Amino acid sequence: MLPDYLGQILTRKGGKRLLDAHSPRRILDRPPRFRDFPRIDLDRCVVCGACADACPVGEAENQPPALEMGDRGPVLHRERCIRCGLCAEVCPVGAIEVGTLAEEVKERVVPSKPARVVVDRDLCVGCGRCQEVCPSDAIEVDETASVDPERCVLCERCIQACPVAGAIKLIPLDVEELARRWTEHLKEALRRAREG
Amino acid sequence: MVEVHFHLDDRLTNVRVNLARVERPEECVACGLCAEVCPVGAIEVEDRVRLDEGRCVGCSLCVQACPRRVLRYYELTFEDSEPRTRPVQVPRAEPEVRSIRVDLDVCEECEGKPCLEACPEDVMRRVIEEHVIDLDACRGCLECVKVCPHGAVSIELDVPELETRDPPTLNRELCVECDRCHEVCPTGATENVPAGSPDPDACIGCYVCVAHCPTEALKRPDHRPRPRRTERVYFIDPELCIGCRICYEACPVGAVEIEEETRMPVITPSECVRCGLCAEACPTSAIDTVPTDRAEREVRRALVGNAFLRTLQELLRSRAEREFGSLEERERRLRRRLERKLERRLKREALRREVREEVEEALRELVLRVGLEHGEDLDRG
Repeated sequence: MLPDYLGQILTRKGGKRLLDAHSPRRILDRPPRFRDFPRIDLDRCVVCGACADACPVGEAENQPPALEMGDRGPVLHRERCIRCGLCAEVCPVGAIEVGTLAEEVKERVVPSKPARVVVDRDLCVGCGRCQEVCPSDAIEVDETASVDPERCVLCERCIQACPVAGAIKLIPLDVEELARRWTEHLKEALRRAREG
Repeated sequence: MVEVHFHLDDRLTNVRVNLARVERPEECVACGLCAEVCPVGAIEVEDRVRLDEGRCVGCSLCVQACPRRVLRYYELTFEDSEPRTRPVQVPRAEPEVRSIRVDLDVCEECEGKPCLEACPEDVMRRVIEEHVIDLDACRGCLECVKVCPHGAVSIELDVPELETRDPPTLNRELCVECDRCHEVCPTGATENVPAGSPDPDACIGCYVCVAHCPTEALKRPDHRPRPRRTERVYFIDPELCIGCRICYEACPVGAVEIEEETRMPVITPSECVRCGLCAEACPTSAIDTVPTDRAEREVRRALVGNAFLRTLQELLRSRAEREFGSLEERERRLRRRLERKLERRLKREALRREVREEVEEALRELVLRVGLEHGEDLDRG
């Protein structure tokens, strides 16, 4: 008695399968949940750095993350990427695409932020320049501007665009460091003023 | 991690620090009022005033209290890249004299008696010659103490009423509860930050907390938005401006002013925050940025032009009134007649004709009168 597998080969159907296995075939469609490496569109990138912040690779192992910020945008290191898709989730301008992720993950991942951007209502004149430059539509202007902290990616474009000194402030979470630095800066300025 | 920037230079642009300085130490007569009012003990008076600038909080109380203007008040700003100090006027307190003591035995031996000449109110003469002390007449200038060669005059002054500036206001959204204001406040008025603005009863208005607040949550009551350090400022090209005043309405900080005589808008460079709302609103694109020094020059020229027009108008008017008598009465009469015509609801063309006739008649009348008066002058001559 022939073993089962041989018996199958010897049938008509089995012989065809054997033939198929050794002949060039068309590549199968990717399965519906297949996730490729992130594709980065540098033309749309606003160099905000949110993706590099979100990348979870190497956080524990003291390694560099898989996405690192270059001058023109993020640089992907494929050998380290785990295709988690967090970078695509946090990109404010949709410059990163990862397979079918958009439909797959409904909830957006909000990375923890080391600072918040706040509009000083006493100083804001409501000119709307910040709204024009904001890449993530986090700013609304009505009399004075206001920033949606969830959408803000801390790219500081609004601060650069604002014509009024100090109307938009970047306040780091590390308050002690901020207070210390400001006190030093002020003292130094006063010292210079006394000397000059 | 995103690198967190601190934007300290932006913050510095908004800083205004006040300080007192001993300007005329030779005028000091060591009355000690300044040391008495100083809330931080930065002033010591022995034979002259000594101010510890490191401890001074710049509250201006000593400057107000000094009867001899030894101290002067300054404001230090960092608007440009270089710090700038400029003097600030503060109200001078009226000194109140408690007592005048003169050692008459020493006085009799004194030959020149320079105090008699120095006293502006004649108080010293009455003290020395008539032995009458008139406290009400004395203004407390301490000139006599200054000039007395023997130190025989001593005048005691009461601590006068001093003005303190309004306390700073707190923007709760910006407060990060770093407690820097608690550390630097000389009177403890900021103890209720962040719950509320500093205590107005305790605050002496030195605004040290405002300068030290890292997020500008505390602000002076008279703060206004300042531009970041820029070389350029918005400027209205008078050639293109049609005087519609849309920019005047659009400006969020009131930097656009309408000149009184020329009725044209002008942007004050020091007030402009460079937001560009006026340039966007301008229907003739007359507003654009130019280098700041050029704008300042042009604005000054516009001010001169405005002043010239006003003076010319005033001069012409006064000249005309001297010639023709009061023009106001005449104008009013003419206006009343024209109004009556308006009430009759004439057609536009007819109205125009009638108005012209009226004005021509008034002019003819004027010319006739002038001719007559001048004729009389000629007759007399």
